[in-house]
Amino acid sequence: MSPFQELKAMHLTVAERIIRAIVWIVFVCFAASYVYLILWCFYSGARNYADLASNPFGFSRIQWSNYIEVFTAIQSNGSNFLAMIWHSVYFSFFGPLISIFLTSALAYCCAKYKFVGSSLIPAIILIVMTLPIYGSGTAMYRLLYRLNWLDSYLMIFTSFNGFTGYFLYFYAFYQTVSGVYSEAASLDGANPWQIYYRIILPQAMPLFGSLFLMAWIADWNSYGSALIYMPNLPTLAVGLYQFQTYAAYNNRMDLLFAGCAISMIPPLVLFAFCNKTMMSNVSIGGIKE
Amino acid sequence: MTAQNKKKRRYTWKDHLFILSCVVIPVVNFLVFYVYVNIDSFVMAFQMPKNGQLVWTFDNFRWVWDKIVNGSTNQRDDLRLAFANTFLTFLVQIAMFVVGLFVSYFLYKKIFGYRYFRILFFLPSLVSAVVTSIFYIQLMNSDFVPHLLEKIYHLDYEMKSPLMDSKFANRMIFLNLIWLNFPSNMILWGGTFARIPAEVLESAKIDGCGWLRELFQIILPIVWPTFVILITTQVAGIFGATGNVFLLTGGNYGTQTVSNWMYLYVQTANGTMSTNLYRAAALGFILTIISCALALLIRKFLTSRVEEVQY
Repeated sequence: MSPFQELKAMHLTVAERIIRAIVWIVFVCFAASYVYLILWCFYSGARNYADLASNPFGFSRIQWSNYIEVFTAIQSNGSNFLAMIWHSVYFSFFGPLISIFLTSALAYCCAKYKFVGSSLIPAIILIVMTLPIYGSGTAMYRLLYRLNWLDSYLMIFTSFNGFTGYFLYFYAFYQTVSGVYSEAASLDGANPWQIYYRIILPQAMPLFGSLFLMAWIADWNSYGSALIYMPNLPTLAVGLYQFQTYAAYNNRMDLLFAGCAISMIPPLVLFAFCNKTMMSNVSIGGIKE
Repeated sequence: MTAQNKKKRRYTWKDHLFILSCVVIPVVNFLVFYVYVNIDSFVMAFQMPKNGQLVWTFDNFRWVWDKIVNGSTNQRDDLRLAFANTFLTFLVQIAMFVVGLFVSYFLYKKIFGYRYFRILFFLPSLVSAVVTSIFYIQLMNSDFVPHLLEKIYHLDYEMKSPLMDSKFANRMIFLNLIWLNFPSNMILWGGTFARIPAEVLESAKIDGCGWLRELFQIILPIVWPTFVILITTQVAGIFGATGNVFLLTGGNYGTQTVSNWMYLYVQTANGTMSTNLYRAAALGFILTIISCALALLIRKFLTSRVEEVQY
């Protein structure tokens, strides 16, 4: 059914139509601003630096060479653009992948086995989620300093965490997953690892993929922890933040925007192909029966 | 699943080993990077480096209290201003939380083009705050915005950028927050609304229920457990309300917030003997106690109005 047919089938009153029209106009304005932000970054990254400096929101001849120059010109704390991409991939891909993997296994254990922590762990995670603790960055800095993990690839170990909000999604899923196949496999002599990896985990793959993509994008774009704990291993987000000052003083905002545009490509491409998975029905908290 | 539904059979050594293999890394990580770190941050609140040694003291609390009560001539250290800005930012966040609920409702009610809006409203989540801030700074620095503000407010001076003007910097940060948080919690609300039984809404429509009544008297009570979780999280995070202050102004021009102040203090620390770390820990200690009490109160208040939240 086309959008027009859907609208016609709703049998709306005049007041509802007016309200919907106003809301629609507001929606269009916000949606257009988001699209403009992305297009402007890509376009500005391909503009001549002098034109860009004189009129940031104007038009000028496109020069794609900026997108090549970025790889040699953008430097931050001894890292070039390729190194920044590698740092982003290392921390934002492997970190969340292992974290989601550990979270899934932990949730499965808590949902399907009865042991000391099987009820305690979900309760702790709920408490952790709802009661924020401020100022822990100070102690984290002290710990990493003492471990000599600041500006180190070993920082990735801090993300090997299963006590995250993602636990609740997996926990809810594993509580409802049928035990028929795993019981049959158990009777056939499969060990717990075989049951989990060959029977249970494949069923959880859509959820696993969805949560991993969300975590990956969040980590790819985040700058907060990386800027404090590893300024000399800059990720793309940190590197671009650090390059801002240089770009402003040297009038090379074109390179900054080209860098911004390149940093947006992986999440946008992933979203283009996986938007249904990422936006599938993720819910929390339940509803009243 | 309750404990009764879990496996009751006698576990073999393989089962025990499997449980251990699944639990050990997350638990160790949690104990080290959450439990130890948070306990240590409380300990740090009572420590201060003096002559290369850490001594136990209440000086950090005295210093923080002084900055809260008396403010500071240095705007970046003015905690009184930082608290005021944080509460204002929190109010904007709560307003955007409500707006986000309305946005999700209209998407759920299939406003014309809702499929495209759902995708386009997701775009800010895909772009780094660093990139959106660079764009926003450029927009604020362009001739258009400063000239527009000069005309609207009849300013008798030439404005370079509203982000570098103490009169406007905060408002521009709120505007940035509103712009980027317009579709907040869209996926969560979308997922929750999708689980509402269609027959409930159909029967309400037959009874002549309008959209506003439908939202507040039917949908909101049904999704109340989700609402409680989200609002509790928001309230508990009250002192974390900061917007993109760090990226847009760095806390200058009267825009300092509490969490940005703490962030800057950790960022500028050079080794573990920096007094900044311990002062930030002291403020963190105070804020944790207040926010925990607030979160418990708001949760108790909200859940007392409906049955217990189901997860």
